[in-house]
Amino acid sequence: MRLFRWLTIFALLSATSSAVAQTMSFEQAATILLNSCGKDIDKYCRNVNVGSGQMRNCLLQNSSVSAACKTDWSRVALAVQQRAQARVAVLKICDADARRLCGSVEKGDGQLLDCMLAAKQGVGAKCNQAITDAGYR
Amino acid sequence: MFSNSKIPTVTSRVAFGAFAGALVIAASICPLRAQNALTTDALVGGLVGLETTPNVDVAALRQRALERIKRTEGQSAVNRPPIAEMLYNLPQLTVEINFNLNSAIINPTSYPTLGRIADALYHPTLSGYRVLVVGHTDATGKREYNLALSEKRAAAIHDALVTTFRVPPQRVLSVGLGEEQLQDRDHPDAAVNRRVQIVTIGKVQ
Repeated sequence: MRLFRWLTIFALLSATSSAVAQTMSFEQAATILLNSCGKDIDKYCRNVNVGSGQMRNCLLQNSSVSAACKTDWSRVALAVQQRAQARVAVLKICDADARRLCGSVEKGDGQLLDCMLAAKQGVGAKCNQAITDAGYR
Repeated sequence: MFSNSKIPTVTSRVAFGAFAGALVIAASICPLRAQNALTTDALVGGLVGLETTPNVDVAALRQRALERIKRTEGQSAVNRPPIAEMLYNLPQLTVEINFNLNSAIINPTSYPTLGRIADALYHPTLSGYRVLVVGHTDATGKREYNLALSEKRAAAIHDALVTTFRVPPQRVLSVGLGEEQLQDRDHPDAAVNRRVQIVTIGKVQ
């Protein structure tokens, strides 16, 4: 029974860390923050807002805050940055493919991405990877 | 996944303390009951479909609310007319964000909701649009205080989206309307009035 419990914990932990390795959605990022840092924030940073720019210092400089929270805060911040950058980069990386494959499609409201996803056979490897990195599939 | 249809969704209200600023989620069309909070796709569905080019002047809106409070001081909140009727015609959703009591601090339980809003704003369907975060309170307490609190709460959501989730600042504006745009005008103190709306207000210039 105890072994089973440890196996479950291990499985959960590895699922979390593999999700962090790829670019993650902002919802996933925020959920990690809630699970990992929620209690510490309530306890030690109760008067700090998440978007104020002071939360990082409040958590990282407090010796009572758990090590897991500190680690997760930093890697989640990095993951959010990577996802945000990927969403800007995809436009540039895919520009030539988009002109070639979906030149007649009107830009805006997602039609261009729909076209690119539909035309995946013709999409170059770099653009394909950029679409994945941006979390667009 | 990238559908443009409006997906009406309502979640049950999450209680957070006796006087928490928990906010009810209510899509503008045909509410349904659901167990979970709005998904990213539901958020996208609710915010897409801007057909006009509205002229929403946030500073003017703020000023109008302040002036009305001064002009109609002491009047009952029952059946108080909305201060910004033009917002009703725009694609919008009411989202549930928990704040600490009488403060603009977003409770960590609402971080995933903020993340979902950011995901929706980064979605290709919405990425060309600007949104306005609108904070509302019920009519308990002073009107000026409520206006200021809703303003700070809406700003806190704006800041989280822009700072924590790196949504480009030109895509998100915020305003607080206090108790000047009640959802339930017959019952100004009703919890349903405490809410945050996300409204699509135009294309990114």
